[in-house]
Amino acid sequence: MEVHAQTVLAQWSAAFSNPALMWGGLAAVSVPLLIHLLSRFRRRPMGWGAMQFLVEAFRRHHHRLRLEQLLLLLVRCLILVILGLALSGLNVEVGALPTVATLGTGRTVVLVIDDSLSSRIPVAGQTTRFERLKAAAVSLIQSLGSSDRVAVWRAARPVEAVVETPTLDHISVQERVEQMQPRFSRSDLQAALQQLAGVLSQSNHRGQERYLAVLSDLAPDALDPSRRPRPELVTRTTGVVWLVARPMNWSPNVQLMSLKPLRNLLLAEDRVGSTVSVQLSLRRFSDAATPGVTNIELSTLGAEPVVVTRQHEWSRGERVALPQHVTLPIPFGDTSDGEDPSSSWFLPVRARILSSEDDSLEADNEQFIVVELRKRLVVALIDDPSSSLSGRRAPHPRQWLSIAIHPDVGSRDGLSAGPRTNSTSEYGIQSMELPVVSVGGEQLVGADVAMLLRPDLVNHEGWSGLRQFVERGGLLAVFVPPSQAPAAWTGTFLETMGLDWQLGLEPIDEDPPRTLAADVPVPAALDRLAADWRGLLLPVTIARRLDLKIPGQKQDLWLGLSGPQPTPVMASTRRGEGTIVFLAIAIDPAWSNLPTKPLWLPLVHEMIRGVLGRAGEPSRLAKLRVGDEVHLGHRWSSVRKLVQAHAVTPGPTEDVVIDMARSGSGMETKTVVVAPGVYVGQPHKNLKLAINIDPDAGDSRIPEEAVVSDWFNRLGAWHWIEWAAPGAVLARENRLINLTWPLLWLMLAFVLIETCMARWFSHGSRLSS
Amino acid sequence: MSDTSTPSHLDANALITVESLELRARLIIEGFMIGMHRSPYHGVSVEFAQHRQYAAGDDLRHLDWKVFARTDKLYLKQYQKETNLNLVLVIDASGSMGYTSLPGGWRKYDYAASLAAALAYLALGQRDRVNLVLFADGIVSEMQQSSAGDHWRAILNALHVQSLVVSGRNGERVGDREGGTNLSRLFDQIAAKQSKRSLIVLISDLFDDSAALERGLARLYHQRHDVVIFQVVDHAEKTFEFRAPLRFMDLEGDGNINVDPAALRSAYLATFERHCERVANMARRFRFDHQVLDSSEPLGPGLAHFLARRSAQFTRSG
Repeated sequence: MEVHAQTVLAQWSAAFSNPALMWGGLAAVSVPLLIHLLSRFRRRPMGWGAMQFLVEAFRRHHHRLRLEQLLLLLVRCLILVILGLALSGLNVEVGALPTVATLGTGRTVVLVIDDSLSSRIPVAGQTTRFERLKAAAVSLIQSLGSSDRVAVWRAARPVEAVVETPTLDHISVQERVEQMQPRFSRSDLQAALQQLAGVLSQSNHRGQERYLAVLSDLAPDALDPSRRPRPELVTRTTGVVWLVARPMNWSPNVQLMSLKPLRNLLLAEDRVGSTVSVQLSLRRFSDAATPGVTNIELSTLGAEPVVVTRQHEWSRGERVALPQHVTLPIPFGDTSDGEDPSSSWFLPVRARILSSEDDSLEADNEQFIVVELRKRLVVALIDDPSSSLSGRRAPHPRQWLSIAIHPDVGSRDGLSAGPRTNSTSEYGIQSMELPVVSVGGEQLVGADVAMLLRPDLVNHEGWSGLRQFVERGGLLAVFVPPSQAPAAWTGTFLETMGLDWQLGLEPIDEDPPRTLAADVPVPAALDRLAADWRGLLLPVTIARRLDLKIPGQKQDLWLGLSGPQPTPVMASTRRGEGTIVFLAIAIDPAWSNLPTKPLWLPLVHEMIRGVLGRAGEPSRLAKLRVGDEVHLGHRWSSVRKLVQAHAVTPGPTEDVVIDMARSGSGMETKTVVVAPGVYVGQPHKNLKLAINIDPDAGDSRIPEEAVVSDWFNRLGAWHWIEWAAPGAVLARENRLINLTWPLLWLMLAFVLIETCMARWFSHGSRLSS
Repeated sequence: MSDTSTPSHLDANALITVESLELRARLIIEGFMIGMHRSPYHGVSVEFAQHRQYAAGDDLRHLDWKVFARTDKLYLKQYQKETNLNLVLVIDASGSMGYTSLPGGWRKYDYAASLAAALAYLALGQRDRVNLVLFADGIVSEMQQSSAGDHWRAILNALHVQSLVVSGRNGERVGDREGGTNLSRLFDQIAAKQSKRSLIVLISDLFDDSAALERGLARLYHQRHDVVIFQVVDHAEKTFEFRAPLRFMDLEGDGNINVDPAALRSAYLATFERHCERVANMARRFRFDHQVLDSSEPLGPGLAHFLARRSAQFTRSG
């Protein structure tokens, strides 16, 4: 507060050529005050006879007389103050002149500094875009007049104020700007402008001149010139003068566009030879389209890192490289997790560009992923144990599923072996059988997948338990029982699970049996079958089915009958953290030959692995970007903070720790994550996640001046900020003028006013009457 | 008031101016003194007026026996009846009468005393009986009614030696003034002592409660006295042409007040003029004469103007 007062005082003194005379003028105000006070005591006494009339007149008018005296005194004091200001050589900025009359407030200038990832790109080999923008901001601040107010906001996500309220304390604002550092997140300039437009339209300084200085590299993530400004932005910034940094020259950039695991969830036994497959993509921003070579290094991060190098040779004009698939051996070091079959651990993988031609930004050369490794998955087969397996010519549905889950066992023992209970296949899937009557209890704890074979026997509590199982991240696969009876359970199923599907009660016979539509896109969870998808579908025929209708959500469709519009036979949808898969046929040859065809086994396995790897949380965690708030599921509920374990190379040197807070059944970060890297949960260190740079934020291209001009022309009055003299755009309107003569004229006017007032208040005009 | 042996109230110019005029009463005054006043009464006197025929019931003492002897007809003798004028001079000797705006000039009291002396001189010259009453809060001095030759000098002496009552009508009697009892009581006392219709001349600045003055004048009016009011004010009191801020000290001891006179002038004048107008209306209603005299102006012209007005009024009524 004291520093602020001193700053204001110094700014005041600087406005005068001769400040001493200004203080003298202020001191001279005491003269009329003294005269006024002394005149109350020094009066000539005089005897008077007609006192009664004098007293009566005085009583009636003494309030008005007092007011007139005070007005006269005020005008006389003003005359002396104005005289002091005139003689002291008051200099005022032209821009501030209109507001001098309204007690000395000047322009309001808001600076928006784009500190996004692309601002880290070097310019002319010596400095960066951000340093240049920051220098321009400082220059603008220094060119402001003493009565101008300034605020500063940053445009990288998340948008926030550096100095929120426009202030006269330019020195502290400049210090805050000089301390700013670029971020890793993408630019959110449009949101920043939208927010500032609201602030300026609601500002207390609406009557003043308002300037909005856009200090951005105008990279594609900041400004898309092909899209017109939003109407509300135009409306809210009426009267605002825009100042725009002239676009800089730009240089090419090569980046690691993406790094994705082929599976988010891996089943890996603790043995040598297990691998993790990842897919990486390269991109470059260059108009020159010159060929070059980019060297990439992939490595697993942990106790015993494994390093693999790859190379990409750019062809002329190639912008986006074809994805490369790289397989890394999984290092099994200290990953022992005891006997818990469902326990998991997380393997961080890093890919980075070691060297590349035409690369200007280092921060986007690195990406992290975290792959969840599981020794085995647990599948619960929910069936009626009393249903007889004997006496049937065809295998029981439970048997078809067991064969699919345990093909190795099935091939040895054949179908006659019956169902396997609590057995583990070579593929890492362990199955267990659960009676359908107890499905609503705690039996599903520890299971990853629940396959419901007798939905017609599930009671209300059972459906609630299954719904809870799904919402916590489980996969629920529901199969139609092989019965001709009306399926009365479908209503309860749809209602409990909150599905907007329509499901018929009576089985529909297809005569002749219909084939599956081969033109249905491969579901994302089954993308590993994409190569053979058409060949796997063709042999399958459907003879009987329940009528399933899926309104509008084509992405839910897995399998459909051929026809003009595919009739759904198998569909999936997400609920909470988990997934529901529904097969509208019974696993019975009378309904379909699916269990006997080659599609059956990969369908069951990919359903288990693919769906679990793309369930809500793994899918969300794989897309985390810098600048986002992180929301985590219930398995993270014991995590209190996230500690950065591996950072992008130019990142902060000190440890980054992010506190967590409880949010519903899960957790969320208390602050936005601003540093990319791999984070480890504390105290539960087994949980890890990766937060990456948004690759679009590394787009180094800058639009042409003409394009930028067209965009800002739609907003209203605007000027370029020139790099040679950034502050000139404000200083040009900041010319100082001397107010000595205007003040002397003003004083003369006040003298005349004082004369008239004194004569009128004294009723001097009537003395001669 | 400078010389005790030669009273300054009888300013030579004023007396010369007034001596050429005749003091005529507007109403026919009751009295027997032979003078210049006509009487409406026809009765026993020394100056014959006319005869009229006898009618039954007439007083036989007025029969003209000589005419009866010559003509054998009964005629009564009628005479012009001469009367005496009772003049009561009521002079204000309160503190406010001591004001003068001219250094060394006449105070209002000096002016009032000179006027009273001139009127007394004229009245005594016509052998009228003259009475002098000096008052402030109440009667402070009173002389016996007389038409003797040396009475005029006694009046002059009384006017001369009387000092003003500084505490005057005000002092502790602010409440009285508001109650309006002072002038009312004064006129009650004066009226109680007048057994005949008199000409009462009130010379004062009348800086008093107008309601009290009205009650007093009403009393005189109902007793059928004729009243002439001379309101003596200083020129500064009429114009209030002060410029410098002053501390006004009440001559009647009611404290003081700091005022910027130029700022308060219009308000003061409005109040003052309202009071004067109220007095004038009051006099008009009772059909009394009212004259405002400026103490800084010569005594003669004002007095002559007044007597001329009375003469014209007398002529119209006769």
